[in-house]
Amino acid sequence: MKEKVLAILNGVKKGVDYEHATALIDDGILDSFDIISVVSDLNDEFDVDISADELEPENFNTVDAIVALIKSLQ
Amino acid sequence: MSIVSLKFICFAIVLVALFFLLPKKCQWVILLLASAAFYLSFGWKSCWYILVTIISQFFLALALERRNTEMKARMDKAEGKQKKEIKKQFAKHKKWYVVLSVLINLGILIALKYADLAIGSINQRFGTTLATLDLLLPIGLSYYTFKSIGYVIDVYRGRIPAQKNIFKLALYIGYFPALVQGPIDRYEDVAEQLFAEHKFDYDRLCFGAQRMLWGYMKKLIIAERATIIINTVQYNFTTAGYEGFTILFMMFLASFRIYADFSGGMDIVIGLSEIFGIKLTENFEQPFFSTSISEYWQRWHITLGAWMRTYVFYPLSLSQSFSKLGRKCRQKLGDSYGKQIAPSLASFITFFLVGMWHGAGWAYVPFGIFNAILVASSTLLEDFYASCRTKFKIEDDSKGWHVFQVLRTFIIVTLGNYLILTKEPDMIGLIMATFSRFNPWIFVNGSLYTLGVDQKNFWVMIIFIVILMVSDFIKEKGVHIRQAIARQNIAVRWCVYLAAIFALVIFGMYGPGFDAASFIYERF
Repeated sequence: MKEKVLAILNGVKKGVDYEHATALIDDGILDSFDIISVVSDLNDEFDVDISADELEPENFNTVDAIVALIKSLQ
Repeated sequence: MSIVSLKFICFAIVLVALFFLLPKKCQWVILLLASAAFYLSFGWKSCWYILVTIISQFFLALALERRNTEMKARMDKAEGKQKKEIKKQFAKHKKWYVVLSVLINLGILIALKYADLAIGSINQRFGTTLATLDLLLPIGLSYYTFKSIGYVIDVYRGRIPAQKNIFKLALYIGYFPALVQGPIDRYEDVAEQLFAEHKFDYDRLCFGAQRMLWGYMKKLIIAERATIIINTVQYNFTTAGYEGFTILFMMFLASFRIYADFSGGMDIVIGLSEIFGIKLTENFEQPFFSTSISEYWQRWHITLGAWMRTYVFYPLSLSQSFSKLGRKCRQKLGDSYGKQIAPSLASFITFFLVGMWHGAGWAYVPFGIFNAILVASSTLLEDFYASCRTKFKIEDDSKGWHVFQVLRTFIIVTLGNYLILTKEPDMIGLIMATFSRFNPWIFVNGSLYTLGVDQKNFWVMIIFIVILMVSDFIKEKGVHIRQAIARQNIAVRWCVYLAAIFALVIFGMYGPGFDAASFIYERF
């Protein structure tokens, strides 16, 4: 799952060391448009329904947090 | 009671003394009483609106919490897909509480802020003579309304527990420093600090007082002088014949004025809160060093941007209709452009709302649209811009390109002033007058000293604008200026403090009774 999430993130914005990034949202690496693109790809890839309620920095700051969010919704 | 008045400074000194001298248990009660006193100092007639907000949000949040507890209990017993079903069922029901909260509070906001605008427009359009309501606009209306709606939505989402003590909720909604012009703090960011017990801390007192001093300097030395020049040009350009560079200079000055005015107010309230031990959310992060309009809106009025993103842009972008639109666009336009259309539209609506939030006037609609087009186009045309940079051999990380981007953004922000400084007919006139004459000599022939501020005061203003920008530049480089001053020896430290105090006393512009003009963002 982690590899797929990394592929989605790289597809939305290249050139970021996603594996080691700890504050993708807090540091402004991903902006709101990027987040919407990531969420839309995650929804399609994992057949989940990420709602606006889940769009909080702590769910998207790291790849592991994104993986944990998807698992909690599956 | 304006926060740039002698009355307010006396009020703050007495409050700080009481806050730390009385038992710590009473600290939040002191803040609540001070907030009530501050609010009532603007008159008691508008206090009903904030009371309706506090009471409605208190009971709606409690009801939502009860539903959340029931939902959790049922979900604990369920398994797999059943959990999703239960969540869906409850969400349907819970949404009505949020709808009610938004209807009540946004209803008050819209009625008070926009009813007269709508009535005026109807009268003008259809020739009717409907009477305007002339309702009194309560201080900080949109700030506390946004805070309280955010609070209910966060309880709905199960992100925070509902506050069980209505007086504590009243303190969060009506905390007086943040009441005037924000910041629009989220409940989870400040509530604990508001209700906690705080020990007196000398360093905090010094840092807080310094920040307040810096805020007063921005407001009283820069903004007050700039306002005189801006008003002179803005309201008399047709009769006095101001043209060309005079108007352009006024527009650039307006950018510095609004920044000094708004961020100065923020420094005062954040500094005062720092003395109490309460850390409010920062509202500015060197906005004039942004490299794009999108970045500018992430650094300017940060808490409004965050509120709009969390409670408008994200829900709208992920709503069923926008998701459907996104899928259709991806099929027709391909992945890279197609997936940007829906969020661009959501961004458009969000900026339209931000524009309307800035004022009850149709002139703010083009202001919102202007920003929405810039933000959406920067995303939609990203690939095109990248190919242009390659074509012209521009390196993304070169210093020259960075400086160009910063200047370009500042100029675009300044051009936006044409949309918000004037009413529609004057706006066209101002643009025409700007291009009607090429008169760069106004910068050397003394014309600028005839716009209501004499030569000496003009240069005081310019010097402090330069100081403001240099201080932002230093912060941009990651230096914490107040800590850097604190590390100096006592002689240097006190030279800096005394220089700042004397500068404020000598150069500050305040009328009789130490009352300066109100803050621009106070009206919102």
